Parts: sequence; structure tokens; C-alpha cells
Amino acid sequence: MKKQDFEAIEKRQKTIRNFSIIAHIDHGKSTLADRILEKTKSITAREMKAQLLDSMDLERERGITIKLNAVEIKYDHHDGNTYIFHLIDTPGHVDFTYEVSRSLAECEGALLVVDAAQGIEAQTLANVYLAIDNDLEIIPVINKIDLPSANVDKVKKDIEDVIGLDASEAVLASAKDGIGIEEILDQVIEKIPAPTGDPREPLKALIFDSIYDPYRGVIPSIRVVEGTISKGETIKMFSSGKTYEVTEVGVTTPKQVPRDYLGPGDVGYLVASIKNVENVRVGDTIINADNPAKKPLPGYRTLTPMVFCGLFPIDSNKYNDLREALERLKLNDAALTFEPENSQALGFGYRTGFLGMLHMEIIQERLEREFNIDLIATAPSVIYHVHLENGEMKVIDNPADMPEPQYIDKIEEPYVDATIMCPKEYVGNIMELCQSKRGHFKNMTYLGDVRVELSYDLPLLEIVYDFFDKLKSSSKGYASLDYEFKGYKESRLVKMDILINNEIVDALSVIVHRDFAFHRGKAITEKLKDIIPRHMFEVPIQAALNNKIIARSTVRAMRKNVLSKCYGGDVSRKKKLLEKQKKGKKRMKSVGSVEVPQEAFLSVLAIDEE
Amino acid sequence: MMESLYIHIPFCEKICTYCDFAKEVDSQVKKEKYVHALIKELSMHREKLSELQTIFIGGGTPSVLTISQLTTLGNALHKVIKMYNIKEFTIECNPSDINEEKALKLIDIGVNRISLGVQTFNDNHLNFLNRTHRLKDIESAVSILRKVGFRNISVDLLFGLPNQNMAELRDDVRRVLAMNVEHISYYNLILEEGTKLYNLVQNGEVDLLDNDIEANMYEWIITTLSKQQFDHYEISNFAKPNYEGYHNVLIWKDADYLGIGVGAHSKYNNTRYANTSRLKYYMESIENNAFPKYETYPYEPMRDYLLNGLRLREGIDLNSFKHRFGQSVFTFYPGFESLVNSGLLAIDNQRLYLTHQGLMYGNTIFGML
Repeated sequence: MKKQDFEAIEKRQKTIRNFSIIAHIDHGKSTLADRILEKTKSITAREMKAQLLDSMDLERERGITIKLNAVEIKYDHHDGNTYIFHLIDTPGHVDFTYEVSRSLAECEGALLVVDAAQGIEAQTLANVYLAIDNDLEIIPVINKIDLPSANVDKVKKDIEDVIGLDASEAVLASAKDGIGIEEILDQVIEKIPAPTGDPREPLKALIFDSIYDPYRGVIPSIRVVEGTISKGETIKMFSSGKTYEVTEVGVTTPKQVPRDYLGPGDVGYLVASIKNVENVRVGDTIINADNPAKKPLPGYRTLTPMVFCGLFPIDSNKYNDLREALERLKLNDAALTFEPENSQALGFGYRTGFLGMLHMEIIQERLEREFNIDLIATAPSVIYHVHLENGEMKVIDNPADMPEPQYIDKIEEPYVDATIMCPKEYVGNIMELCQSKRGHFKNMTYLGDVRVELSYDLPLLEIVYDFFDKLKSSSKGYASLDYEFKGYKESRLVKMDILINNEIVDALSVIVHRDFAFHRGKAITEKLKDIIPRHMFEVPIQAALNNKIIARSTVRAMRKNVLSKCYGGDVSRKKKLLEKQKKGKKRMKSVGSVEVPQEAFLSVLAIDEE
Repeated sequence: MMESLYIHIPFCEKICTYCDFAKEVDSQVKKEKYVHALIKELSMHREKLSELQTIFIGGGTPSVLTISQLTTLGNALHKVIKMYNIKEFTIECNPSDINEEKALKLIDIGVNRISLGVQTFNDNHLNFLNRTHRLKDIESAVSILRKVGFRNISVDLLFGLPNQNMAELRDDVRRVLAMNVEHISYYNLILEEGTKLYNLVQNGEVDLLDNDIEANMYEWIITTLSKQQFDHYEISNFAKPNYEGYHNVLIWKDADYLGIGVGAHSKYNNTRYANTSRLKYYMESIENNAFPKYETYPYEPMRDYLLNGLRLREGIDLNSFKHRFGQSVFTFYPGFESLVNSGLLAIDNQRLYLTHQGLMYGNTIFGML
């Protein structure tokens, strides 16, 4: 590259602003991102779909962001310059802290969006601290000021007291009504520094995401930190050592737009006919093969999965499809782990590890929707430390692998540090809930006059089970939960087997606390009774501890299932009915001679114990 | 060549709670135009009708046609069909539509079998089903039909109505036997999407009957009617000797048939056809001299043969099957062996048929096809 080219790159670099938006679910982050895109005329009204940055159907339906997205925006400022913004969206849920830390590493600044009516939530706090850890410039934005219940002064005070940020220049905004958007953009330009990095240095670019395109291969999303990258160059993955020839570089606007080169501070994508998903590891550094940088950029800390479940294709022919799909998802979700699992009841599948329950749900839904694989998911489990009589310690993430009780000395289960924030009127309910979930009370702090922060030690197992749903229902949805792994603790745990038609179904086994076993057994057998369809014979359902039956229910025999009417003209419609019946069967798994529907395997969860 | 003709009359005075056939509330103008459209459609198929053996006018409610409309339709049929070859000519009637004049007109146009839509004799249930007739109308209808000379009356009944109990069912069975009719079709109420009943059930306002009670009812019906000389010749049909519904038996035995009118189905040229079920489109295409075909279905010879044939209690002839399809039915459907072993199917005299147990679990068997 020539001298004047480098000068042009450096000039351009001064106009770049990289920032993300930190907000709690529902506090209006995606709407704000949409408004910014509109305001900067990045997209025409016709292109505007509600919540554009959230491009996955699933995200749009649930109104949350799962994967991070990055777009380039051009903004003509009234100082006469045109600025280049890279807006990097971040997820707002506890399960996706990993994604958040990734997106924050790409930025020099962040907008902290706080709902003017609801104030700061636990999750927002966690992400703000992450941003502060990353030395980001934070611009507070108080959103939804149009709401009648908005209390701007209180939220400002919260920001100053709880986070310790100066809120005097906080932008007052209503993303919904387009208020305050221009001021946000002005502050981004004034307060957030332009990215550093020298275009003359050897290339260092961080892979922070990637997508798979069936025609163009794996397309990594990158941020260039040092040097430049352009079409025709040969690049090298620092950790795998694989080299590729770059066939295209560009930016996302949110459409992919090719560009001649990407320089320091640029956030974009590259195409290099990368076939193998495994060679593009998120967090890896891309360097120039002909002029290689000596050291990689600091990668990401990898999060370890805390929740495990078995995923089995209903159609056993789709086992390989499932593996490929999991590999694809792992491409930009390093927290996802999987290894083959074989179940007597469900056949071949994968024991899959997740960061938490939402992460698990999202992955399952994506497998079904994007990859068209009908799945059976077993109830989620945590990792147990099982100490045997002989002194050996086994790490068990699958109840089916639990050793026989006579060999077990003790079982330890993971505990978390749980932080719950709620309005003070729900404190009683929530303390009661935590008590019933084997929680140990640690601390209670008043945050201002109305909000309370509770801290508890809680078994992760209980959180995985139904704690979150119960928390929401006992606080009318106002409480928020954040948790962090604490350590292992001995508990009186037992494995409970479920028998269908007198056969143990390994995929239904669960680990429960001894004191809850009877109650849970009864609830599970009752629930299964309603889920398993009636067969031509009676189907007993039993719960057993150590081969002793502790609860039982019965699916009564179905005595008749005949199509009544079938005249000539009716043949086609009766066929349709039979097709429907067959389709329903496809979503079932045969366990012995019993057809068990998909949802049965999750029935051990979400049991209403009232 | 076509052996059977079906004519659909989509009009009804009121719409029944459970019905999902092509139907709409009648209006004189529409009926008049529709009869003329039917006649035109019939003439479009004129060359197919020379070997016809049965005619069936169904609905909807064909008996809502006026005397003059019936006359018009009858005359048209006589023009294109050799009526003296017709063995069975059935029309579906609502009991409340029957009067002496109409009954005589039916005889006049060649009808020799009445299918009477009774459904139940219980006025409360009739009211819930939104039927126009009541118990007294049924009794009067049958006596008028007999008086004008009908020798072949079939009664349609439903069991498994919401909230129906065994005592009410036994009462229905007792009453239908007392009427001394030749043929009974006894259907289990089926919940179909898009009906009023479906909404009621979805909203939790009405509960469907328990499967056990339905099974008890079905068994009671089979046992009781069989004791009274009714031959249980098809899953839902019972006939006095020699009074099986010939039109339907032909269809179950895979004969070709032509259906005319809105939503009517046909089978010929190894294809299944369905007319549009929208009255508006039907009328428009006939007006434009076009066939009102809406869709065609592939005819699946073996599957259809078994789906239909096994509904008949006599079942299918294993030799004819092999002759027609080249190999034994057990070669095509190995699962049938286990059905025979578990007593759902039986073989007797080279015929494969549903056992009593098999009758109860028809869908398990049909689902394998």
C-alpha cells in the first residue's frame, strides 16, 4: 500500500466510532438501534422491518437478542464531517454474558439504556461492569421517558449511586417516539474515542462471530485492530495455522457491502472460501500469511457450560444432520459443547452443554427451525461430583450414568451465588420461594426506597428446574435474577427412575433431593399420565428410588379409534386424517411398545406443584 | 364406465353444530340457479352415464329443494340417464322437510330409497346439534314415507354426542328398532375443524365424550342391532338382509363414480377429482362451460382398495388382491401378520377382514396403509 493510502486510512480511522448498547430485556435496546439506523438513513423505510438488528426469526419473536450483530452506519454530523459508526448489538440475558463480553471487546464505547420507569436491573449491572472492565466510555441513556410512570430523577440517582457513573449528561430519550436520537449520536461522536491501531503494522484482526453461507463457506465477522486486509491477500488463522486467500472483504449495513480494504477500527466480514467450520474459531486472531504478526490479540475467556441435556433426533436417520447442525451453531457459540450419547430409550444423540436454561431453549428451537430436525430433549441436568466408596470421584452430567447407590459415599452438587432484585413488596414471597428451593440466605440490601437486592446461595439444580418461572410468578414479573457459579456442596441427592409399562426409561431418570423425591415422583407420574396417549392396552407409569416404587399412575387403555364415516368422496379427507395421525406419530418415540411424545421427556420440568 | 352418480345439494335451513360438508343456508334464488347449474354440469358428463347403476343425492340437505326444483332436476336426470337401469336411487332427507306432496314427487322422479337424517331421537340433543326437526317430526316423516310407498328407508344416527349418556343411547337404539326401517347408518360424532362444535370444544364450553363411553356405546349398538336381524356389514352400517346401501357398497368395492355439484368428489380414469367447494366459483365455472374441478388426487389403487375394502365386514378377497396387484397383501404390508396374530385381522375362506377387536381399532390398521 502507498503512503497516501495509509494517510487516507488514518484520516478515515479518526471518524470511526465503535459502540454497543447495553440494556435489560424490554428496556428498548433493539428499538433504539432501529431508530439510529433510521435517523442515519442507513436503511430505507421499505427495508425497515421492526427490530432490524435482530435478524433471526426467533429473536424477533421473543424480542430478545441472542447473537451479536454488527452494522456499519454513516452519519453526516453538523460539524461537516461524515462519521462511520459500528453499532454492535449485545444480548441482554444472563445466559449470554459470553456474547456480551465478545461484543464489548469490539467497542470503545457503549450506550447504557435504562428504562425510565423500571430503573436498573441486575442483568444491566452485570453488563455495565463488564463494559467498565473493558475500559469503555459509557453514555447513559434514559429511555421510555414518554411513559406516564417514568421517573427520570430517580433513575439518574440510581445510575450515580448504584453504578457510579455521572448521570448529569444522560440523554433523555424515547426510542419509540424518536426522541433524543440525535443527541445520542452527538454524544457518541464527542465522547467515544476513535479506535487506535496502526495501518502500517502487520495485520491483526479478531474473529468475533461467523455465519455459514452454503455458497461462500464460513464468513467470519472481524474487527481489524492493526494493519489492513484486502482482497487477494493470504491470511492465516493464528491458532489453527490454516491459510486462506481472501476473495472479498466488506461491511454489514445491514446488507453485506464489499469494500476494497478494512483498516484499524473497521468492523466487517471477509470471504475466503473457508469450508471447514472448525478452522474459524471465534476469538482467534487473523494475521497476514506473508507478513505475520508475532503475537495474537487477547482472545475471549471461554465460559463453561453449566446445564446439560440429551438431544436426540426423533428420526434416527437425522443423527448426522444433528451433528452438523450443532457444529454450525458452535461456530459462533463457543459455550455450546456436545458429545455423543447413547440412550436405551432414545437411541443415538448428543449430550449437550449450555450456559443456562434460555441458552438451552434457544439452541433447541434453532435446531428445529433452522435445521429442520425434530428433537427430543431430556430434562436438563447439572454436573454432579459423585464420590465413590473407593475414594474415586466421578463427574456426572447425566442421571443415567449415576452409579448404583451402594457404591456412593457422597454426592456434591453445584451452588450459585444468586442475586435477585425486586420491588420491596415481593421480598416476602421471594424469600419464601428461595427457602423452598433449598436456598441459604446471605444478604439483603435496599437500593433506594423501593428496590431490594437479595443474595442467596442456591443449588443450580433448582434454578435449572423451575426457579426462574416461580420467581417471575411470585413477583408479578418484576424480580430479576443473576447468578454466578460458586462451588460444590454435599447434598442428600438420589436418582429417581421412571418406569413406563414396567420398563425403566433411562432418558427420564432425574436427580432429586431426597426430601423432595416423593412429591416430585408423584407430580411426574401424574404429568406423564396426561401426556402419554392412550394405547390399546393399559400403561402403568411409576417412579422408583433404588428399585422401590414410590409413585404410580396409569394411562387407561383406549378402547376404540375407528374412523366412523367413509363414503366415496370422503376417502381423500380420511386419508388426510390418517396422514395427520402418522405425522403425530413421527413426533413420538417408541419406548418398548409405548409411543411417548416428545414433550414427555421434559415433563419432569415445569410441573405445577400447586 | 361410471357405475354411480353422486349429486351434492349444499343448502340447509340451518347449519348443524358438527357439520363440515360443503353447505350454506338456503335461499330460493340460489337454489333455483344451482339446480340449473347441476343440470348443465350433468350434461357436460353425458357420455359417461350410460352404464349407471345407482344415484345418490346428498348434502347439505337435498330435501330443502322445492317440488318444482325436484321436478326440474328429475326431468333432467331422465333425459340423460336410462332410469330403468338404475337399481338404487337414494336421496337424503330431513324429517322436518317430509310432507306427502314432496314424498310423492320423490317417487315420481324415481327415488326408491330414503336416507333420513335423524341423528338422535332426543329433543335436547337435537336442539344442541341445531337440527330443524324434533322427535314428533321423525315419527310423522316415517309414516308419510311408508304411506306413499317407500319400501327402503335408511336412518342416519349419531352416537358419542357431547353429554350423551348410555340411557339416552339405549333409548335411541330402541326407538330406531321400533320404526322397523331397512337400514341404519350409525356414526360416531367426529370433531371436525371449522365447525361450531370445534370452537365450543376449543373454548372449553363443551367436553367431548370419554373414549370408554364411546366404546361402550359402539359395542351396545353392534350387539343390539345384530340381535334384531341387522347385518353389521360395514364399520358404521347395518342392514336388514338384502338392504345394504348399494351405492356405497359399489364405492367401497372400488367402482368408478361421478360426483356433481359443489364440493363433490369423483373417481374415474384412475384419478380422484374434487369440485370446488366454493359455491361462487362453482357457479362461475359452470356458467363459463368449464369443469368446476378444484383439485385432483392421485388414485392409489392398492391403498384405496384396502382402505375401502377393509371397511366392509366381509373384507377383501386375498386371491383377487393377489391377482390384481401381483403379490400377496402380506408381501406389501408385512405388519398385517402381527395384526392377524394379535387378533385385529382374521382370515377365513381366503378373505381378510376386521375382527370385532379390529373394528374397534380401525385407525391402527388403516394407519399402517
